Amino acid sequence: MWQSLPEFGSLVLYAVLVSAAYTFAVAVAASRDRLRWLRSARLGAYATSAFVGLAVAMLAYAFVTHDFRIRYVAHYSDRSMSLGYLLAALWGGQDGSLLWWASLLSIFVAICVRWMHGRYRVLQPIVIATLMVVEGFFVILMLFAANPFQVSLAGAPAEGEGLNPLLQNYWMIVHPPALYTGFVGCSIPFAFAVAALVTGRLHEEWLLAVRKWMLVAWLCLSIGNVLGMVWAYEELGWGGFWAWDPVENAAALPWFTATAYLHSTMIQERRGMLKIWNVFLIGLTFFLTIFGTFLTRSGLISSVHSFAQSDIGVYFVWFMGLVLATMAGLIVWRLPQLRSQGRIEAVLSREAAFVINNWALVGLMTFILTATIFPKLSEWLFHESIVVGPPFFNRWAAPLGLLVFFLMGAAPLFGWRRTSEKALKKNFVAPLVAMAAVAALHIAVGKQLGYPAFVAKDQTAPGILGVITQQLASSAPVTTISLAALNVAVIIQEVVLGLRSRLSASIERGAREPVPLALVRLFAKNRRRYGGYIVHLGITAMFIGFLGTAWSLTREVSLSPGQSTTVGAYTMTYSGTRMCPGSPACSDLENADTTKRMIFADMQVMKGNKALGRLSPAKFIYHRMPGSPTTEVGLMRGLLSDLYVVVGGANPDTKRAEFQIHVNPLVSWIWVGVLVLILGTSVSIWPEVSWGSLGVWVLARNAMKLETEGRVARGES
Amino acid sequence: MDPDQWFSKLRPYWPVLLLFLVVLGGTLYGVAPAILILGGGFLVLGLVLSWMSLGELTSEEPLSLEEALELGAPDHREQEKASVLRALKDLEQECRFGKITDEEFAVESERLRHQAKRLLASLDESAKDRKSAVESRLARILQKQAKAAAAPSDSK
Repeated sequence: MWQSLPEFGSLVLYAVLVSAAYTFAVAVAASRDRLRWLRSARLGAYATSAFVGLAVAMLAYAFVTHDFRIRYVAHYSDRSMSLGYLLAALWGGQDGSLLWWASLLSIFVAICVRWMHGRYRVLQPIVIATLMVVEGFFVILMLFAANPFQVSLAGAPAEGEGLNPLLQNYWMIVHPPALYTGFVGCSIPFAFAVAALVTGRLHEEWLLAVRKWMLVAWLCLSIGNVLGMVWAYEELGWGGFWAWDPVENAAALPWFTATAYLHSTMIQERRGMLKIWNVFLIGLTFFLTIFGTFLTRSGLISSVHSFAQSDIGVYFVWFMGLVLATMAGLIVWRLPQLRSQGRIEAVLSREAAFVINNWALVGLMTFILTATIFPKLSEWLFHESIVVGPPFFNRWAAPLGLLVFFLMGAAPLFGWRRTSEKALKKNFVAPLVAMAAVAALHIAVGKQLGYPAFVAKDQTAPGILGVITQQLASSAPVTTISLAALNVAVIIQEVVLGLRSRLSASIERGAREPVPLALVRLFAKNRRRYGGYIVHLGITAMFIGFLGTAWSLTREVSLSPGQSTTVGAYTMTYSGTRMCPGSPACSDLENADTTKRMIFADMQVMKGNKALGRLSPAKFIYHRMPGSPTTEVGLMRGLLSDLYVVVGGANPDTKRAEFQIHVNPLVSWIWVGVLVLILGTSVSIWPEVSWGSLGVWVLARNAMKLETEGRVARGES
Repeated sequence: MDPDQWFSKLRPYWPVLLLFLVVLGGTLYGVAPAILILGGGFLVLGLVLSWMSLGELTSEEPLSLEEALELGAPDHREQEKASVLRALKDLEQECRFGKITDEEFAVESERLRHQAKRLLASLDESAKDRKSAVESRLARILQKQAKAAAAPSDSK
């Protein structure tokens, strides 16, 4: 059976399944404190990961050697594709993306098992067993519904069909792996939560274990979602970065619950509260990652991102049912141990602010989820498919988002348990003054600068509710800018307070620290706190970037060569089209590309009297898929605004071309924001107390004890 | 050194060796052979690890000290203690920042200190059991050694 690559690939998948099943059984048996079995389960988990690695290597080999006997390889690659895109094709289609999911999980499994070396002895077997169930599910899916090694029934074609041109973009090489890493990363916290519930060890041990894994998963989810935005912005050519597409929404859903968890876990650590809520959030986050994968693949909701409709949906439904039933059963079983040790004593307390923040985040997630699946829901309920569009999402998501944004700024100003009137005044005065000053400034000069404080919006719903949402939408710019000011002021205040306290302590010690050194040490000694503030700063920058859409300008024009048009501060002069390869005006690189025909429409861009250079929006026609030309955006980035030009079509005789021109203010702040977010999360993840040193300390203490007792036994003093 | 010892000594260097072979194969023969070498490495690794895992199941020997230490874990109370100490540090910072009053600080600080004391006492208590176990074991060893030392002199 294993003489040929496709059969060998399938055999390897069976080996993964057998290895995962074996490891699961041994791990469950090891939970009865059998150390040898635990060692065996650990080795089994590594072996399972190695077999998954082998399966991925085999599929990569098939792509690189153009083994078109394999249906998946023939469908998603051709001989003209570069090595990078050949490897990206591993996750370009349904079957391969499932293998990719399994392979990322196996990397996480291997790292987690290594990381658990010498710790979490009681939780470890169940963590391994749970991860093997998840791994096993994906392998079953591949073996029985979407085998990436399945051969084409009609035999091997001479040439493959090639990867969808829309996916032949460098952001597509990095976006899916980043997003999948975030999705898969949520499996580890889930496995720990299951282990804590099964073993009944529901004290802080599992919470502390999970924190950094959840942060890593959250970071990858953030990066993956933003990379998706960049891809949509650069490749889809409609002028925006988020279209509320079902698959985009599905990818964002676990981000909201993971964010909620990262905040609510602090309440449990600090006050022993929200234990059920935290376990629920972890379960829900994992569930949503599976749901997102299901939504992309089942064809339940139509989306530009969806893979072909297939019958794998039913497997997902069963697995999601299993996850829900397991979590619900375990929570009910452990209810007595999950009782809260404290209660919210005052509304003006940090825990109350975090709880409201959690409700808002989960509310936002629930709203997006409901609106995303509403076409299906309405079909079931009213026998009519009702699709809700971006205006509906924007109308309701924006107020909830702004509530979260406000709480993000305000929550750190409250103390735990309760905040006294005096403390409240002291903490809120400076940020509120900054917020009011920025709001006044925005109202006064915003319009002159091209960023008006109020942007008139149409009433989109009848009655008083319609008026309220219209007013909220119209005042969104000034509200967002004010809240951004609040957030920044709070962060500055927190850093200044910390710095002042550190400097006065150093003066008391008689060794005054220089301010830069004190600042570095302040962050280094309180990584979790200040890393969190850096993340808040990044999110603030992203909110400003999102706000930019309120001021965006769009114009559709038809120009003949030599004609100019002005949009916002930009003046564009159309100089004509050129077709590459072939035209003498094309660069060497463009002439060397024989995979496609490229029709560029060149424009010279001026801002005031300053020449900014040439923009060349284009249409690419791939020889393999002549029926699906792609739109290549002409993009000029700036911190204050992007100039974004799309060419709709060009008359080959007259050279007259249709353009869609967008001036998108502040979009770059989203990309800057995510870089700040990455920095902040990295600071937060960096270990404060190394486990190694703790372990060494424990061993050293025991060794000292043995030595002392030995001396006592020998009668030495 | 027996083969088993060699094997375990070389274990950490396997990934480096595999990576070296992949890079070498890639440089000399191209990407496809490099991927094959990588796949071969995963296959060998998977089989060896599976074999070792089965070996663990069938082994009747007790765990060696090294193996036991590898699986040993610090008491979860050590972690809780670290968490309580961190909460105390946070609390002090919040008091300095004026987010909570001195009275609230006193109440909360007392609660956390009490928790820390309870954890320390409980850790010491559990160490007591280990201490007596070690004492009795040492006593047995010393007794054995004393007997062994006495035996040759008796025979003389």
